[in-house]
Amino acid sequence: MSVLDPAATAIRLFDAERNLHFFPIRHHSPACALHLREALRVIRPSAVLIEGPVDFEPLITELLAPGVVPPVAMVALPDAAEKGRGGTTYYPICRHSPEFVAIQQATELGATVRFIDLPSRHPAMLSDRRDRQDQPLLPMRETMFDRGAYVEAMCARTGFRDGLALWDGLFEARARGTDWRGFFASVGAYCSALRAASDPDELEADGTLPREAMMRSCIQEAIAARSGPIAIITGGFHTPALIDAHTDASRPAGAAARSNAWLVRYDFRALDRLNGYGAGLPLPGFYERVWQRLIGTDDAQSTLTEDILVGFRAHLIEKEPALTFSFPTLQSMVETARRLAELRGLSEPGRTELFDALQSSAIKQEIEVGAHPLLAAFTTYLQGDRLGDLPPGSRLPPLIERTGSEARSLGLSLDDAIPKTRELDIYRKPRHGQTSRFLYAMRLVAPPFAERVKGPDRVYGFRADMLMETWTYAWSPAVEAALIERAGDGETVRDVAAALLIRRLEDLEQEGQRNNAEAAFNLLSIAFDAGIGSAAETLIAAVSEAVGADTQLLRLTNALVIGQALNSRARAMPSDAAIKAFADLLPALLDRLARRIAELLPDLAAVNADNVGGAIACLAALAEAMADPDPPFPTQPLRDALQGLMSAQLDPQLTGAVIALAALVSLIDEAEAGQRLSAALAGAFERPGDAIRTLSGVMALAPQLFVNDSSVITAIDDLFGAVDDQGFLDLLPQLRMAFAELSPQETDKVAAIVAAAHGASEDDLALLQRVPDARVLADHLMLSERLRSQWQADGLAAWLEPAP
Amino acid sequence: MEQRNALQLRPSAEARFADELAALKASDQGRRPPGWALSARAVRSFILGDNKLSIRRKFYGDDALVERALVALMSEQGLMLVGEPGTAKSMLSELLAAAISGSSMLTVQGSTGVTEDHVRYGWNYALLIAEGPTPRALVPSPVMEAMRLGRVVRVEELTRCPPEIQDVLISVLSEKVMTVPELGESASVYAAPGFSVIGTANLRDRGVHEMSSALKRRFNFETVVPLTDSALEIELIRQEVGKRLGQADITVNFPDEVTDLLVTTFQDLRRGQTKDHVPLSKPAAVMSTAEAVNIAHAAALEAAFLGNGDVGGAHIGRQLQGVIIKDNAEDVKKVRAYVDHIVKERARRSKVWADFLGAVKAMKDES
Repeated sequence: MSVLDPAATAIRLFDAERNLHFFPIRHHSPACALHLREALRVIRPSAVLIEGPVDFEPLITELLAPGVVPPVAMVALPDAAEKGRGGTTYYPICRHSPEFVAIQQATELGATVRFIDLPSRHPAMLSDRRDRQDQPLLPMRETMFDRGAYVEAMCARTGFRDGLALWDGLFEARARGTDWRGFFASVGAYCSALRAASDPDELEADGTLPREAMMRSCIQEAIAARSGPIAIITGGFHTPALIDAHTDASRPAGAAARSNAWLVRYDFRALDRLNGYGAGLPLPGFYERVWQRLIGTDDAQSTLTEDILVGFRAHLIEKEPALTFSFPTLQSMVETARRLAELRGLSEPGRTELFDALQSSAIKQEIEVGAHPLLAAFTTYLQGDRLGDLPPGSRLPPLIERTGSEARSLGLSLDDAIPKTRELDIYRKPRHGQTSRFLYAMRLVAPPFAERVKGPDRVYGFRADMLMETWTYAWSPAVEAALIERAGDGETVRDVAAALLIRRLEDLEQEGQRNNAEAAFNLLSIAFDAGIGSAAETLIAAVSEAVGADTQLLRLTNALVIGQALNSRARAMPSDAAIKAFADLLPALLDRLARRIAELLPDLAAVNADNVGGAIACLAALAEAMADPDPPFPTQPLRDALQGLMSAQLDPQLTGAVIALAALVSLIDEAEAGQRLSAALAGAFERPGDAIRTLSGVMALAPQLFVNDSSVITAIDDLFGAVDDQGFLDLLPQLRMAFAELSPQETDKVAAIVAAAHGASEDDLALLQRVPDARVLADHLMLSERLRSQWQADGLAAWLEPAP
Repeated sequence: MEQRNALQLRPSAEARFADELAALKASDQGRRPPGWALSARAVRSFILGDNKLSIRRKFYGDDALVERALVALMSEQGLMLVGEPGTAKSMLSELLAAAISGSSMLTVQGSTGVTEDHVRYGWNYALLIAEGPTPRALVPSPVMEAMRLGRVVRVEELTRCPPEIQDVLISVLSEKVMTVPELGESASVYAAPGFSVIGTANLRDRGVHEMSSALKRRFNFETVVPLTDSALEIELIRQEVGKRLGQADITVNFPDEVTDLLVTTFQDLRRGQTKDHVPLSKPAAVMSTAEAVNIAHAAALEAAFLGNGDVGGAHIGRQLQGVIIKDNAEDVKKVRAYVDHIVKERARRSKVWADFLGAVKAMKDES
């Protein structure tokens, strides 16, 4: 279905006078790659010029070395002078990248290969508008293929749903066949129309114009040095700016800069993330299969559609059985895809048809647009999970090199990507402690590397008595990719981790969370685990500031729990240098924190029934922190503040919690606690349930107080005695909530005390437990009552006496 | 039949678009699936429009959905259109049937009262008593007719039919045969090529009969969603109201600003946030384009017969009440909040919005 008006936007791709052949391409397009290979075989160029940063040229030899398996990426790391511009530059390459195919073909033909774009770290290459500092930088950007007025108009005219489907339908569908001239003429016409519809100001702003000046200058240079035809392969968007012989071809300043460039292993997942930023066609797993089909390397017993859908079903059966569909559904899917392609005038089903067929045949319910898990699973499947490879002994960027040697020196095996398990005796063996800190640092810097399976909860001190940690780890290209992404931040894992933590601290500031003591303490805890002594001072200063500024008691008390856990860990490893940096600074910080909490505690008097939950949680955290027999912070200010609270007028639930806390920290003894509680329960409130809420407060902190002191139980019992049935029903919800905190054994104990107080025997209790629910009991009691009065009326009162 | 058309409130799709169908048939080059009146591509053009043949677009929204639907109908599967009320499910099924089979009249109007007679066959009892079970005495259902003629049968509101009726469809869709035991073995009706079933259902309504998985398996599902493109919705409303007013020979002045107000209000409430991402509570009421058309139409009628022919914000405001307040007190609160916060703000800058605000406020005070 040709909808282009070639006459209107056609460009001259063959310059006979200068013997130049221009090839407009789209990155990662199998159709472009195949036609390009064919074209190069026909025109046999003496030089092939490719849109790639000129400083990546030395990597071409490395790329062609035996043992290189795409996906790989050429990367440039920011150097020290560039601090703040951050971000690694990526030039990803897969098997089906037209550039890669061209380099291979050119080498086979003995042609010279040159990169003709500006150096990767040239200001014009860094001037794209990224949303975040640490977003990757890309020498190529293809967002114009996805949106814009022209793409929208074309979609409306042709019925394709978006820019990607449009590209697939117009060009990928034409991958077969030998008419490369016609193919590139169409791509050229399409791209020149895209170009005509774009905003010239934007081209200046995003560095496109200086880049194209560089490309023209390189073309001139190549013409001067050539011995035959020249092939010029660039993103189709640039081609129209290169073909005119008379456009200015002077070289922009800074074009000779060299950078810190490397060839690294890459993986499809990371590649597809880059495509999210406009690096080329997405779903590398899918297009690689298309490519293999095109060049005939896979054995073609079945159609590509069948292959992919059958493979997807097998993948689901193995990995996500809940989403699996039946075999007849699979058949109908294949048929649907084929018919859709026919309806849309395509020779065979493409990406869109596969998704449509899946949606149409396998999803038997109403769906929100594109939001079904099956479609998401298919996307992941088509993304692919191929890992690239480099031959052993390849040159590696310093961060990877050093990280690798540190890991090896700690006895970690990095020879393959198979996950391994390591048990660490973190407190008793210094080397294990070091390994643990290295793994924590790696978890921060390159998350795919290590995963902690078992061990003490490092932040809140949960299961703090565990001595061993268990980790799994695996060195994969994903780890290298993650390291590369961070390489701008330093040359060792520790440096990068420190930079990351400081950035997170800055993020907190930007989110207006500068006064969040809990979040700051969390960062501190991470730094501690990773042994990042160099960041200790900065972090502690920030944390200290947060403590002074935080007005939320709950965050502060949580911070206290974290700080206390930190301190006990520091004490368990006194000899370690990295830990010492923290251990020395902690006491002053905790002192400040405790005093700050004491300062804010009286504010609890203002808490009412609506926001009492947070206040209870904060007293519970305080109870946890103060339970330490030798707390690393001064307790006296806290006890004073608590004393003050005991005589304040509080929300009933809070009263309960304060009494419980006071008893727990031995500010009062259990007998006094019982008395105060009884008094509180007898209190007069306008809502009868409020007295019971006192109980909930106690239960949240110290249920044992209630169970151990039967005078409290008697007080509750008295409370019930004073209300009628309706009143009891009103109390019931509060009571249920309060008792929910008790363990079954404790509930039994309370029941026994109450039963004894009412003279009921254990048999009565056992009987009661056999009653299925309250309604049955009520019915039966009513029946007894009717029987009793009937017998009395009938003069049979004697029957009611127990038998002699 | 032809004579009655003039008196019909709403002629069938094949009657309304007879010219377009004829033009498509004349120029149709594509291969026709067995039993179809047009090729799949021509049916697509009929529904999504074709400038060259001046075929008007009739279904707005997801083009790929229409393509998938066509493919489902070409295959062994039935087609199930699901979605909220008022998203043009029935219209789409009518258009598909009209274009594919040349007739959209073979329809089962689903309800709890549907019996087996409506989906299998019934008897003319006088003849049955007189002659016994004979082909003459048999009264075929639309489903049986569609099988015999190789046409598309529409089952509206399938989930409102009792389960036993839905079960009948399972065997019809899988075996493609309907037996008539009373007439003996040879009387079975086999589906001719071109036979298919289009069901529509609103899965969100409470109290419907859940479809069995056996039945679901025999249908391809397509979800029809409300329009999200306001420009498209404005165009659609304008077209539809223009057509309705044209039929009744009424002319009003319907300014763009007023259509824009209507669509903005609908899109805001439907999405639960404004275009500037201000969140608001979404009412439970159905806020479909069809409802918006009804409001615009009613507003135009009010302006024409009770006013001076100029439609303003106040007309829309008064009609909105009818859609939102269908005895749902929660919705009233939600819309009140919307009016008090968001509409009030807009009313400061625009006369149309101010009129709208005034009308809604006045209604509220009454209630």
